[in-house]
Amino acid sequence: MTTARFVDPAALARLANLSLVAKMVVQGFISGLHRSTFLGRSIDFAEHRPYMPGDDIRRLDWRLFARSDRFHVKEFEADTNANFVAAVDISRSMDFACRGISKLDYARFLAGSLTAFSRSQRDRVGLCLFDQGEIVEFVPPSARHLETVLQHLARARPPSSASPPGPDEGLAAPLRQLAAALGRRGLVAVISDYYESAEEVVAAFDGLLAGGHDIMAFHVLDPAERDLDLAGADGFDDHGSRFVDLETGALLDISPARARSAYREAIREHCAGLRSGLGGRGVDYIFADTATPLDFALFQYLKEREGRARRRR
Amino acid sequence: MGLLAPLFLLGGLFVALPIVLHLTRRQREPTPFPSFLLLRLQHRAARWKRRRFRNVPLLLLRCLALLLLALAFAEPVLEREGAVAGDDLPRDLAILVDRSLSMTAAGRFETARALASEEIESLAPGERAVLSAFEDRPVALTERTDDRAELLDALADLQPGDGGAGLATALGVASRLLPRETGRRREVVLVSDLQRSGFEDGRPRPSLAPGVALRVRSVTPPENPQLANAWIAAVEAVPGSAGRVAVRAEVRFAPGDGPSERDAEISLALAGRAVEGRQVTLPGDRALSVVFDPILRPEEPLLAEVRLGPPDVLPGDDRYRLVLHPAPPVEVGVVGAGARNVFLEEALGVGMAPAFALRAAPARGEAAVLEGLADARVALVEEPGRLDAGAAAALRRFLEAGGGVVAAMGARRIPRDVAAALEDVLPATPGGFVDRDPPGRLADFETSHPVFEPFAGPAGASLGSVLFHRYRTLGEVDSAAAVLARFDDGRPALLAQAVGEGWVFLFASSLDADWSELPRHAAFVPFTNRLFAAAGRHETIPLAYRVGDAVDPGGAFRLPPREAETAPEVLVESPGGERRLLTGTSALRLGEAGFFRARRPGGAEFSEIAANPPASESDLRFLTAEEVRIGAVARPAQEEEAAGAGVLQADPGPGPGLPLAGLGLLLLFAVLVIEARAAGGSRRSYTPGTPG
Repeated sequence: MTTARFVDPAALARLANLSLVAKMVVQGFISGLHRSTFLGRSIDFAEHRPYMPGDDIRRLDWRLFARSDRFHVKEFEADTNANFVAAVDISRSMDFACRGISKLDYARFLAGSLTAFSRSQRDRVGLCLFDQGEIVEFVPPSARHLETVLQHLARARPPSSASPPGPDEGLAAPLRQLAAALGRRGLVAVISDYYESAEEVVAAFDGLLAGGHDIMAFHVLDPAERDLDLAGADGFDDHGSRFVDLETGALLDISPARARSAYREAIREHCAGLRSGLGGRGVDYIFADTATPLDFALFQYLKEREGRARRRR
Repeated sequence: MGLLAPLFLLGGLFVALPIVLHLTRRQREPTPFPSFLLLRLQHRAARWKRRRFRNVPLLLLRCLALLLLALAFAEPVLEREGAVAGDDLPRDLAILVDRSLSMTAAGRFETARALASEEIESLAPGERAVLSAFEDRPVALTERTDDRAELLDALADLQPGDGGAGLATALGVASRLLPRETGRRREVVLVSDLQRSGFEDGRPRPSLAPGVALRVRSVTPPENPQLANAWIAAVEAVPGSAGRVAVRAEVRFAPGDGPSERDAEISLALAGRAVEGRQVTLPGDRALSVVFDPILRPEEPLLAEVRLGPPDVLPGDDRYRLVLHPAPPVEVGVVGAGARNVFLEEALGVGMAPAFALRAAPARGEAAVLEGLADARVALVEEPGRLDAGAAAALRRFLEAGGGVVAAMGARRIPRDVAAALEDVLPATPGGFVDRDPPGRLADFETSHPVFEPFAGPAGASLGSVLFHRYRTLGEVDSAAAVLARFDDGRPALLAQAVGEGWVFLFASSLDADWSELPRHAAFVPFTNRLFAAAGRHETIPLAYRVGDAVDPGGAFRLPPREAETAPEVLVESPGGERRLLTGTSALRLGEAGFFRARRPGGAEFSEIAANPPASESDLRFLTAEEVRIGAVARPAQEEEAAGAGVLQADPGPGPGLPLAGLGLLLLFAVLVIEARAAGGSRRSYTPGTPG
C-alpha cells in the first residue's frame, strides 16, 4: 500500500453525493486490502468444535470426520451478521473549519465510509446523530438501511444558534439513550471532537460498554484548532484576537502567540487522557485530524483492531 | 517663524475627522473557535486588551498629514536674522498715482500730487521708490531710485488723463515693481480718489504679493463721499426720412448731496459750429433724452460734438465727440423684374439703417446685365427662369467683384443651359416643386447668423409660424455652402455661400405672396432687411469710441486697403497733435479724448474717429480706504487707519523671509506616501488566506 492512493478529504468535499464518497473510499480501501495480509478475514476459518445436538449438520466437516471418525463443526469468524451504528456529533463545535473541510464534513465522510464498509461485509448498519444532550436522529441497524443512513448523514446540519450548555448536555446523555435503543450487541463508532474533560468522556461510554458493544471512539480535530494557528481566518491576528465560542457564543480576547505552546500541551494531555482512559476500558481510540485521508484513517483503525484481535487470541 | 494666512490653521480642526473614523470604524468580526474548554485555561497568561483605537500609527500619520496641510495653507515664513519686520528696515516704495479723468474733479489731482510729493520727501537715505501712474493700466514713470529729485521731476510732469481708473489692475501690477530683496521692506502707496467704478467694472480682484504692504492715501475727503455731476452718457444718430438724420443724446445727472434737479444747456456743434442749443432740466439719478432737429445726412464724414453746460466739477465728461458718416442706400438691382413685388418694396422701404433702393436691371445678355448692375451692391433674382446663360455669367462676375446676390425661386422652368451656368453662381441646383398640404414651416434657422439674429429667443416663434405652401428642392448643395434655415421636412430653405469677394443667398421659396404667407407676416420686414444688408455687406460704423479702447486702424478709420506686397502702414495723429506710424498689425490704443486722424502714408485725405471718456468715470461715488483694503488685499491684514489723514497703514507683513509652504507640502507628500504604505500593509494583514 502506498500513500498515493489515499483520498484527500478536501477533494472528497467537492463531491456532493455522500454515497459516491463512501463508495470511492471503501472500494479503494478494499482494493488495497487485497494486497495486504488482511485478505478474507471475514470468511476465514476460525476453529473446529465438537458437534453438539442442535447444530446445523451442513456445517459438519466431513473430511475431519473421515480422518478422526468424530463429528466436528467448522466455525468462521464472519459467519454471523453484526450490527454497526455510527454515532456522529453534530454540535456547532463540529462546524469549525479553517483551511480545509469542516470537522462535521470529515465526520460525515468517515461515518459514511465506515457504514459502507460494514455493509460490504453484510453487517446491519444504523446511524445516530446527536447534539448537546440529546439524539437528533436515530436510524436503527438494518441490512436495508445503507441508503437511509447516507441520506441522513448528507442532510445533517449543526444547530443554527449557539446556546450555553445545560447541566446534562454533554456526551453522556445521548450515548446513554443510544445504549438503551440498541437491543443487540454490535459495533458502535462514536465520532466527535470530545470537548469535555477526559474523565467525563470516558464515563459517557459506560452505558454502551455495559451493553457489551464493541466501541470505536474517533476524535476529530482541525489542524488549526489543534495547533491554535488560525492564520487566514477572518479577523485573526496572532498578536491579539477576539474569539467567539461556536458552542456558547461567548467571547474571549487572547493573544494566540502567547497562548499557543500551553494550549498545544493542553491538547496533548487531553488526547492522552482520552487514549488511556478509553483504552483502559476496551474502547478503541483513534485520533484523526481533518487533513488525514479517510481511507488512511480506516486502515489505521483496522490495523489496530487486527493487532488487538491477535493479541486476544 | 510667521504665518501669512494664520486663519488657515483652523483647518487643523479637521484632525477630528480621522480620530472619529478610527473610533467609529467597524470592528473586525471575532474569529470563530470550536470551544473555549482548553483555550480559557490560558486566558490569564495570554490576556490581550483590545485597543479602543484601531491602528494607532496609521491614525497618527493621518492626523499629521492634515496638520501639515493646514500649516502649508497658512503659508509659514521663516524670518531670517536681521530681517524682522519693523520700521528700522529701509523701504522700497511703489508710489501709484491715479490719473484717471475723475481725478480732475474739484482739484483732486493737485491733492494727489501733493500726497505723492510727501511720500517722496519722506524717503530716508538708503530708501528707494518707483513712481507709477495709472488709468486703465499702470505705467512706470521712473526706475526704482533713491534720487528724490528725479522722482519729483517725474511727478511734476504728470498730468491727469481722460481714461478710466483700473484700480484693481494697478494694484495687481504694482507689487511686481518691487522685487523681493533681503533686508528691505516693500510697500505700495496708492494715491487715488478711490472711485467706486474702478473696482466695479468687472476687473478681477488683485492680491498683493506676500510681504508687500499697502498704504492707501485717499484724496477724497471722508465727509464728501459723492459729488454732483452731469454728463453725456451716450449719443446716437437716428435715421429719418428723406436722407435726414437726427442726433439724440442721453444726459444723466447724479445729484450727490445737492439739489435733486439741475438746469443745463445742451447744444450740438457740427464741424466746430454750434447749430442748435436747448435749455433742459436734468432730473436726479435719471436719464434725459434730447433729440436735436434732423439734419441732412452728410455726404462726407462730419465731425460733431454735443456739449453740456454750464461747467460742473468734471468738465471732461460734458463733451461728447462723434463722427457722422454718410449712409448711402444699398442699391438693389432686380434682375429680370416681372410683376411688381409690392411686399418686397414696402419691406425694404421701411429700412433706415441701411436704406435700400430698388431698380430694375435686364435679365438677358451678360453686358446688359452688368451694365444694369453698375451701381448696385446687391442683385435680386426673383425668377431664375427668366435669365439666360449670359445673365448667369454676369452675376458670376458681379459676385467676384464684391457684389451680393439674393436668389429666390419662381414658377418658371429653368432652361438647361441656364441651370448649368447658374451652377457657378448658386450654392445649389434648384430642383422640383414641393407642394405642402398642410403647409410647411421653417423648423430650424441659424440665429447666430446676422440674417436671423432678430429671431433669436422668443422672437423665433414668430418666424417659425410662417406657413409655406410651395417651395423648390435644392439639390447637390455645395460643400462650401452654409444651410442657414431648413423647412420642417428637413429640406434646405436658405443657403449662403461666398463666391469671389461677394456673397450669394439662395431662398428655396418665393419672395411674393404666391407660395407662402411670409410677405404678409411681420417677420418679413426684419428678414428681408437683414438678408439684403448681409448680401450687400453693410456695416454699421460706430459714431465714437471710448478712451482706453484698442482699435484696428485700417478698419476703424475705413482706410483704403494697401497693396498686398507692402506692409500696411497707418499714420495716426492724436487729439494732442502727436503723430505715430503704425505698422504691421499694431492696434491703436485711444489714450485721450478727442478726434484721432489717420491716413495712409502718402495719402492726402485724413479720416477721423472720435474718442470720449469712459462713462464709468462720470460716476463720482467713492470708496473708503477700508473698503479698498478689503477689496485689494486678499489676506487678512492688521491695518490701522492713520489718525486724521485718511491714511491706511497696511500690515507691513513678516518682511523678507523664507517661505516654508513648499517644505510643508513636501513633508505632507512624504507623510502621505508612508500613510499609503502603512494603510496598504494594514489591509494586507487582514486579508483572509494571508499569514498574520
